[in-house]
Amino acid sequence: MKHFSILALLACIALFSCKKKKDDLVDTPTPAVQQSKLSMKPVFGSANLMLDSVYTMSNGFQIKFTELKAYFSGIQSGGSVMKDVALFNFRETGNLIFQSNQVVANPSSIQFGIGVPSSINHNDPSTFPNTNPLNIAIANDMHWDWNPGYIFFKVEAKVDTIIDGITSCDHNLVYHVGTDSYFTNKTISNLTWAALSSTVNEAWLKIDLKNFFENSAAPIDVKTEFTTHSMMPQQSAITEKARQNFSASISEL
Amino acid sequence: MSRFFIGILSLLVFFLACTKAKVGYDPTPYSLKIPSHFPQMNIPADNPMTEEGVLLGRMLFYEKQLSLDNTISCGSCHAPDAAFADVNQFSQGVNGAIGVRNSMALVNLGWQTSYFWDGRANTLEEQILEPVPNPVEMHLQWKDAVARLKANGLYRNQFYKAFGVVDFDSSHVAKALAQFLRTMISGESKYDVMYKFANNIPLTSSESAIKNSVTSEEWAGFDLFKSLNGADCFHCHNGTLMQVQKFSNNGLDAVFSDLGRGAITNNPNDNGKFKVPTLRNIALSAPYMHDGRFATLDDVIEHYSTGIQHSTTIDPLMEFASQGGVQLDSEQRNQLKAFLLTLTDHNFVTNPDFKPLNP
Repeated sequence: MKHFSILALLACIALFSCKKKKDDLVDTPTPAVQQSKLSMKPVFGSANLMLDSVYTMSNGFQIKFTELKAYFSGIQSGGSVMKDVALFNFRETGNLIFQSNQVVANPSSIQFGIGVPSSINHNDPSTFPNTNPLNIAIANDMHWDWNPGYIFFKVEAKVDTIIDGITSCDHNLVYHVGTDSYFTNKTISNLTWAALSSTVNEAWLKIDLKNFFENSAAPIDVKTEFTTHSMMPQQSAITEKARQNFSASISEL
Repeated sequence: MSRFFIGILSLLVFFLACTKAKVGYDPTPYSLKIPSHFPQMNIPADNPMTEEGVLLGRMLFYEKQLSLDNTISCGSCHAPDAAFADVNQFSQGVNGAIGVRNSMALVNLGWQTSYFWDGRANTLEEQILEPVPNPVEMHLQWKDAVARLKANGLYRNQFYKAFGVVDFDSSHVAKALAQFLRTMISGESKYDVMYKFANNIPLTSSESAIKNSVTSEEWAGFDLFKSLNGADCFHCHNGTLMQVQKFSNNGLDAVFSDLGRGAITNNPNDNGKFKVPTLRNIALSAPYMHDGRFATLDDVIEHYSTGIQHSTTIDPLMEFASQGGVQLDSEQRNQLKAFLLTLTDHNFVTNPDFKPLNP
């Protein structure tokens, strides 16, 4: 019986010595990381824009958007780079452009490029890290391998140009703008950041797709200027219009 | 007292006798052979690749016990000789049941963002769970399938080696199969060399030799393939995967008998859309389209050339739809077909690692 007691005692010691001591765990509070989140709300004039919904243009044509994507690069404020490259993909990821650990002044001015700078535009898209928006697995149909480089932005829509009271958006509009010469720099001044939580400040941009077509400086005639892939010389005029109008349509919300 | 010690000793002997001496759980990480011009593959954190898991997946892929009447395995409808697709328009399940869609070719699955023609599965593991209980496929309840596997010592050991579990279930079967399927990477076709060359990616000496063997007809076909005024294929089929991750209505029908993606999302804007498939090994994976309606590549080229049907959800990138198609002439069709044949990866379809263990 004495041996048994000794054995039991040893077993208990062995078991308890294996138990993780709570006292050993040092409870070191990690400082909360402050983040900035930039989002963009697509609108059509005064209306919030949703893909696959029908809107009416000033000329009475009806239009529904099916795709809206864009690369933003070199996003910085006050000399501080907030994000190298971000992919806005309205259908897949909603309004978010990016969220980063950089905190900037409030209000602030931000600068960014619409597209991918030529210094990296022609790199092998498989070599970017898996989480980089330029990695081909994320870029997906935003990369041209036939003319190596990225599509800077794409707007796709279907329009009804017959004003007869019957909605039939069956005329396709495709604006795929890329190639180095169509890279555009953009500045947004006095961007206001609001506290989304104790650690996240959020600012909103908007893109007005009504203005994309109806910008008075370079209106797009959807009947004749319905497609560009930025490549063929005969598409250069519409590509330039699309470039100008896309940039002009982005502003602070 | 001595009886007490004898009792303790007996218990010790009993427990030691139950210890698995032969089968251990010490999985070996599996190194995927990813071509240099491919992106890295995202592997789910809860299903890391191991040698043991891949081997088990390979065993399961050709395991006919996973079907009700022991006649069908995954490999029955995804045959190596057909680029892991089915030569039949619709695959035949147990008891002669016939499916309604063509079997998709299994290739480069680790980079897909959706599975099935209608994209109803978001992960490979999720996809794998469907065919076994599907009445028009293997028609076996998972509990019965797992019971069959558990009755087999070979599988019991292999599941333990792969996952450290004795009481395995369908999720372990799916994980093992997913691991095997992720190894099925195709990136060594003549097209891969053409892609690298076109994208200024350095070629090895052997690749340079392959590049020099590309015929003028194949180059012309490649040019047509990626030409806006040519075959205009590149919007949906490009890059290393020869596909983009999207759902598209490619003008097969004016009225849909199969809603495709629309039946999953219940969004009428998705009606008639199907997952864009890869064109890799396309010469081997006939018939074509979600319903296998086209028997040959010539039929497919004819469709895109003159057979486009307009509908409200047609892909905006089918830019010649209003003319019925891209209107390729006879010479262009031959060139395009010659290019499509460069997508055959002989090393992939003959890879012994993808064949049954005991053919």
